[in-house]
Amino acid sequence: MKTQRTQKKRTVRWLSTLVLFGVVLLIGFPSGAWAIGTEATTSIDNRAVINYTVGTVPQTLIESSPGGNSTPGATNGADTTFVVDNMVDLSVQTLDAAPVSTNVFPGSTESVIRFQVNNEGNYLQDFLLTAIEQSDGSYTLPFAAPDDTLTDNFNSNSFVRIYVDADGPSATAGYTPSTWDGAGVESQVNYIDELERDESITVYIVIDIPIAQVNGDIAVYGLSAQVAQGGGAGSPGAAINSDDSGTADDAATVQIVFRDGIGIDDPDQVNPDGYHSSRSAFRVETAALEVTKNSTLISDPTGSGTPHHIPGAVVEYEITVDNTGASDANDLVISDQVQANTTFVFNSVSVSNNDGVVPVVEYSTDGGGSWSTTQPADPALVTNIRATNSHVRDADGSATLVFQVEID
Amino acid sequence: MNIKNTMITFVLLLAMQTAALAQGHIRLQSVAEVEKKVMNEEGKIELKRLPATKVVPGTEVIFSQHYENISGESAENAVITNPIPEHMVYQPASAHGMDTKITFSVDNGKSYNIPAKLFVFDAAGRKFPARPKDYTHIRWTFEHPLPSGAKGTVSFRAILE
Repeated sequence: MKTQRTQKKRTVRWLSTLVLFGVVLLIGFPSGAWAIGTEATTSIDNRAVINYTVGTVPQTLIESSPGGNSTPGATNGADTTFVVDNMVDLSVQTLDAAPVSTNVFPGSTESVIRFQVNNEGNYLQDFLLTAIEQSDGSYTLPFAAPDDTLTDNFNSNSFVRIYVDADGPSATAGYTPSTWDGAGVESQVNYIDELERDESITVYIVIDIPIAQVNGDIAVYGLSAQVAQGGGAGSPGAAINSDDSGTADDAATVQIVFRDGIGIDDPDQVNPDGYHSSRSAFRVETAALEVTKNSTLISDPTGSGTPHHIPGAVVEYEITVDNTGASDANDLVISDQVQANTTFVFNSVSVSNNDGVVPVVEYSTDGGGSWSTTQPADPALVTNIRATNSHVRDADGSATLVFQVEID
Repeated sequence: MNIKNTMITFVLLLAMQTAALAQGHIRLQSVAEVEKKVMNEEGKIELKRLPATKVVPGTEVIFSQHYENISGESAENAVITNPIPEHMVYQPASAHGMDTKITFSVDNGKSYNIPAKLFVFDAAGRKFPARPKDYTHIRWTFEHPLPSGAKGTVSFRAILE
């Protein structure tokens, strides 16, 4: 028994050593990731040296040169040199995890979606930004199901604005996305100025939502970034439209090599093209209200078990408002009028709200011109009745107004 | 022989002597190349070496030292030393050289050894086996003399950070 236990312990210890070794390997040798690339324009210089003897006499060392050197001496060689070229690599990703519905309702202004642009190349660059307004239709989005495919059905009713975060860029590793601080704080420009290699910055697309939109409406927008020449602060550099793969090699000049991935809305969907793009969406979130009005014949003067609509009969109206939307409906007023040839029945009003709200009941005697919470002593004067609910909750909210009239 | 002629002869002699001094026994040529896949005449993909020009982070560069004994004498105890250029990371097992013993330095050329015997120390003074990233120099020590006319190449590969 004892031997067995020892064996087990040993195995466990051996396993943990193995795991530890694996972790060390992982930390120590991050293979394939060249996150911090040598900066473009850096000169890589190489010079070797040979020492030897002839007979027993040590000879003066000879340095190498690109074309071959045989002159002895420590400074008679020359470096074999090339410059590091400009590897253009960028990525754009949305910072939204789902369609944005915060401050996205009919008539909302400054509705915002967020993106992060990363300079993954090896040189300081500018980035030219374009907001892509998708037309109606179905689009793939970088969100979890069921939001991975959304149907766009509206566009902004204002100019689509692009803002670059005023907090400026910071290192991509450990980058903390910024938040929208409002128009006037962030910079409304269509380019990112002077983004260093391995730096990231937050970019916002800002639109206004048309008042006619309803709950669940979707607007898909994309952000496209194209690499441009950096180096001139304060204005956008020239777009880099092609790399130097077709031009002659030159060890002495900095040439451009596209290494970017294929973004969802990139012009070239096969090859690196100096562009990258991502998508996000606005989802309108508002109350979705349904109003139902029922009437029930309560009694008639004959006292019959099956009453009829005859003068003196009492009819009860029940008006129900259901909210199946994604937002509460605030300050909701259910209002009705006492029809001609009917008379309001004193003390017949009852109200309800399934979220604990106590609706405020008011009466009007002048066709809705003025209102009072006090019921008129003469019910025949009542022309309108209303119930104000501070809110009707989202998803399954319901409020009712019930009152009775007598047929004249 | 007048003074003028003497002067000229002297200057000529001096020049010749300088030229003789300037010529060593070995010519050393350093070349940096990259390998590219190209289609050959038979339609097959083959690796072709081209001068290192379009080099971006992640590119592997082949550094070669072509040596030739251009003298009439034999060069003995020949040693080629190549500091690994800054920003370049040596690729394990990529150093080659016929009839040479290849050693590496991790202390900026002060000492050399084979990879298994190279160690580095962290800030706390703990000893770790050196990684190729730690190599600063490569040294090829020729096992035999290089006779007159002998030529060859030693090389290594490194990746641009």
